[in-house]
Amino acid sequence: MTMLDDETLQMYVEEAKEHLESIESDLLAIEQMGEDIDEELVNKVFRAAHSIKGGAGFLGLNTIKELAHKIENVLDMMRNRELVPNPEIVNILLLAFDRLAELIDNVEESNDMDISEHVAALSAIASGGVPESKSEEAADKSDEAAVEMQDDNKIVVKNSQGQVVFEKELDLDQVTKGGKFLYLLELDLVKDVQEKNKQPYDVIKDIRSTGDVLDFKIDLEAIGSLEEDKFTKTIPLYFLYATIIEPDIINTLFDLPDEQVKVISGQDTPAASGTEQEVKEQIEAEKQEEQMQKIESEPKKEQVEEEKIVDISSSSQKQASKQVAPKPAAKKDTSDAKPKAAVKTSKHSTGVHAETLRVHVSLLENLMNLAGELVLSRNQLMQAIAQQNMHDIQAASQRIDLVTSELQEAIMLTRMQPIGNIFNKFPRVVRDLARDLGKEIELILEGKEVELDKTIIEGLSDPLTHLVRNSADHGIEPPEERIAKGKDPVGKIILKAYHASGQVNIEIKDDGRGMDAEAIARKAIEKGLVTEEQVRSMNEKEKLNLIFLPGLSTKEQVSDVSGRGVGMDVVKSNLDKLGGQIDIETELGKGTTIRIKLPLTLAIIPSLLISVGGERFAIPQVNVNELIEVPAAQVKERIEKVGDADVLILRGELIPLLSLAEVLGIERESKFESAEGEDTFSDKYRTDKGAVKVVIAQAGSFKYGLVVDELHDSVEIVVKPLGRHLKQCEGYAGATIMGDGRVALILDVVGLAKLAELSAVNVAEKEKTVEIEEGEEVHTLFLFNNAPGEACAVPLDLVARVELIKAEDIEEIGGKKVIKYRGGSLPVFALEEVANVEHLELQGDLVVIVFVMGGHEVGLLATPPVDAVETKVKIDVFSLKQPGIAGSTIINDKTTLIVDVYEFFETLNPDWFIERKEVAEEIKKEAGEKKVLLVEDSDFFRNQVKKFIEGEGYKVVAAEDGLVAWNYLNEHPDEISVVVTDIEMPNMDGFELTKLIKESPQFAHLPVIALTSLAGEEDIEKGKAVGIDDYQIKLDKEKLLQSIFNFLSKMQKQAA
Amino acid sequence: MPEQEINFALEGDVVRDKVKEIKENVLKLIQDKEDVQLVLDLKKVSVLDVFGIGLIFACYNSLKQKNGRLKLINVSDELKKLFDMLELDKYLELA
Repeated sequence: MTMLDDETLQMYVEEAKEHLESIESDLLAIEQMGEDIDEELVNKVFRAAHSIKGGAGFLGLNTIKELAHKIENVLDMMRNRELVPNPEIVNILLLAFDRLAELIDNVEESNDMDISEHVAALSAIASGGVPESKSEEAADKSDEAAVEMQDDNKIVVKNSQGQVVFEKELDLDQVTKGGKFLYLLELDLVKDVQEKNKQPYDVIKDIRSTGDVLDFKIDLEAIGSLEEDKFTKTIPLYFLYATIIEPDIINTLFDLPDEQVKVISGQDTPAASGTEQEVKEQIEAEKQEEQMQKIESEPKKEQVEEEKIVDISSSSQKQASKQVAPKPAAKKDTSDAKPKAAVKTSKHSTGVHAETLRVHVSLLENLMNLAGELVLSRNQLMQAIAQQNMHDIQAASQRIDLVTSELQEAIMLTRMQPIGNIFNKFPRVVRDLARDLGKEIELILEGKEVELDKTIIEGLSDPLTHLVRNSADHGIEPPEERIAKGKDPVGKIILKAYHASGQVNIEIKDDGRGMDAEAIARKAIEKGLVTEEQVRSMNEKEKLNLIFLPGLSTKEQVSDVSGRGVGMDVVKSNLDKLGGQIDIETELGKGTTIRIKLPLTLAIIPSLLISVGGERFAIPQVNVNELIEVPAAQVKERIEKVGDADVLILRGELIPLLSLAEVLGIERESKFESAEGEDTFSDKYRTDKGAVKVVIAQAGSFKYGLVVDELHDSVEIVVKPLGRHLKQCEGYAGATIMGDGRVALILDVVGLAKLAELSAVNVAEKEKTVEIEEGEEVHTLFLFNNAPGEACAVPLDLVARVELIKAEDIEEIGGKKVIKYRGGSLPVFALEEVANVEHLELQGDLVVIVFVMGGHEVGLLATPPVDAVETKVKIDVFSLKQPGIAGSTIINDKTTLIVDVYEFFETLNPDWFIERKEVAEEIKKEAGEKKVLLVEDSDFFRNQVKKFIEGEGYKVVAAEDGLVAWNYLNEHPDEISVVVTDIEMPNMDGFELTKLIKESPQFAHLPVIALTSLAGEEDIEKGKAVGIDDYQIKLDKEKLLQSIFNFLSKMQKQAA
Repeated sequence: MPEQEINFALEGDVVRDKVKEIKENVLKLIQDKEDVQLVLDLKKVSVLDVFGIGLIFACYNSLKQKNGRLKLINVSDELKKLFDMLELDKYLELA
């Protein structure tokens, strides 16, 4: 290699990059102007190429020199008007400059890099040929092999050097049937095996055993004879290999570089090929300096003609496609440019990754000034300390404080870069996209000068690219469609940046189709990401936000451009990492606006300090909406419990409340728990004086109140990232060291919400895991309406049948309502006859819910519609309790009354139950005063079961937990005859209790009946192991009573 | 004219460092001879690495140039497996 002076080289590279920066937009401008050649502009580009060439020659960078030279030739012709710039030519130039940029980026290896295709294309132009699509491909193929089909079934496979490797009779369709791919693998025993410390036998065996080797060849020529020395350097083997292994993993699998794995043929569906984000890949692919082959976006339109030319793409692009022989239509442009464009774009962003920064001179001068000030202040401080002069020390420290802040600000400003740096790559991206998709798109950039911290800009590049591509791909319609809709055939995408309320806003706005919230919701349901039930309670915004779920893509035909279904969630997570928020606004048919909000800087943020349980935390100011202190007196009114959640009423808005202590798992001195397990909100969260302090936190679409113990100052803190070992903690965004040297964790508002599951989108699985964790129960409820709109429910287990009747069918006999039913009469009642509820109008279609009570069938009248739902909801047995109503809960955002069926019917017809009671009396006489110990943590169920056991005539002692039950047993040893227990209970579960009972000599004789919703095989086994005598499913009342009866009478017999 | 047979026994590790030496030896044997069948005895070969494989192919090429043939005898089972992977039997005789 030539001796390259590092410094000189570095300077050359920087200069060259500068030249290259503006070339893209210049070339695009040249393309726009077409025949109207702007000599000055062409000259500018020419000079850029010329300088690059010159420096390259000087430094011995021959490849760069050659490519630059070829580019120069073409540009020269253009400025001499010997050539009119058309899109094809400009495309070749763009690609050539892309390649040049790559060479510059890898300047050390540039001499070994391949530019043959570019040279070929550029030469072709220079020699007067107007390139057709075919040679365009030539322009960006570097390592490429062509497979030609000759007479249908014979294929000729060439390697990267263009030599024929295989000539075979082969039916491609047959070979690739069943989703297989056909590859040409080039395995060099020296390079790919020996030097990687592998065994040749193993490697070849791997290949042969994971697919069909249709043909195999050793390149004897390359190996040479004994007289030569070639065989120690290279031993190439070729495999014609058919396998179901997909292109995107095959390289890694066999550890082969891209050029040595060629896809000859394979599945047409793009879904087979990888799912990585395009841009991400391009950045990786870039490293291998591949020229990508395009993917046909609409193969159906083009009919295949006589000669099929199957192009082999490098496997990292992952898809072979059938390309039609070049058609005259200019539109039929292979999007060779496009993947390259993506590569280029990422490269542009790497411009910002560079190790140097451009800083305005005035800023530097300011920094110098401040540094000077700091020195002065420091000197003053030193002196003041030496003299022990308190007053001076204070003065000096104040100055230092001030100067330090200013200095810090000034330094931060140096990191600010204009967002135009990344905006500038988009014209090219959009242009190429528009070409590929056959659409006409105009891109408008606004706010290029808006400045952002360097790291944020770098982090934005990928998400913005994805969003812009989405707009172009999904948003903007093809021209014909637009005209049909009465829109301008040219679609507009506006990329706008501006400052607003301490944040930077970036908007991507298009006047395209808009987003269909319903379609997104449907797709999400289809993919099993949400359930229908959850979707039902979502508003439009929440449905739109479903698009951020991983695995979603609503585009039917996944095109290469976007729509692989991994994009949006990565966009969101990237933005989250930057501390940004994303918002979607759309109108079907009119267009979509996506708004991103970002903090101005990551490093130092103003925050609010709060404490909870004696520990201090910081909440970024930007997330703090309001601070509220609810005085003790108002707590009851303003804070309510709605189902599971607590809410604060704030100016007519219901804001969900989270106890920070609870979410983070911090122990506070807990205030008492009220009787029967109800904790009223205020008791849970009350602070000393009884007031409740709430920080209203907001992040994007989340808004909620965080209940804390103390509010402290607002401070500016330096954000320190959390160590890797803590990254898992979702609630924290970082940490900081406060003035007193202590560490405070910075809260992540979004993360906290997720921890507490306030998310707007609940993924079904998460719910289920929480179910198991908290040990809460799933209730299957039958939903109906009393009066229309008055939601009611009963446990489904109690429902015998549901009938639909007409109001006219109801007859009134002796003051009671009945309907003719199955050959007899069924008495029916309305809820209002017992409970204080709305009047049920007896008209139209009605529903009769049939129960079996005390051996009789009875019906409860209701209004349709009815539904059954399995749901984990807490039943509030306090608030709406009244005769006939056991409690209430919230289902689908509606307060739903849970009907106490026993109480209801007992109130109506006490005499029915007398019969049963008489039987029970008998039992009592025989069995003696024996009590049933009922253990069940859910208030609702405990009450219900208690009622019907008592209804049988037994006495019941109720305990809400295993421990309580055990204690009771020990305190009242002879009272209990049988134990009926739930399994899942918080403190001591049913298994443990049973174990205790059976292991103690005193109580071992007690029959234990387990009441549970768990009746899987393993649970029954487990139960038997601890000694459970009987397993009963919850609320199969008859069976339970029978079981109790059996045990008691058995014992009686034994006693006798 | 009967074909001239030349035997050569390979010994030990047929690996990178040794390969050069072996190459020289074989060359000496077949240098100016046409129509020769070179028989390589692999009985005492312990290890054969990639360069060993390359050597075998190079032998094959050299012989081909001189209208000769290559034969390998006393191929151990392990080596046979390797050679099968390479479809070596297409090019030369294995025994």
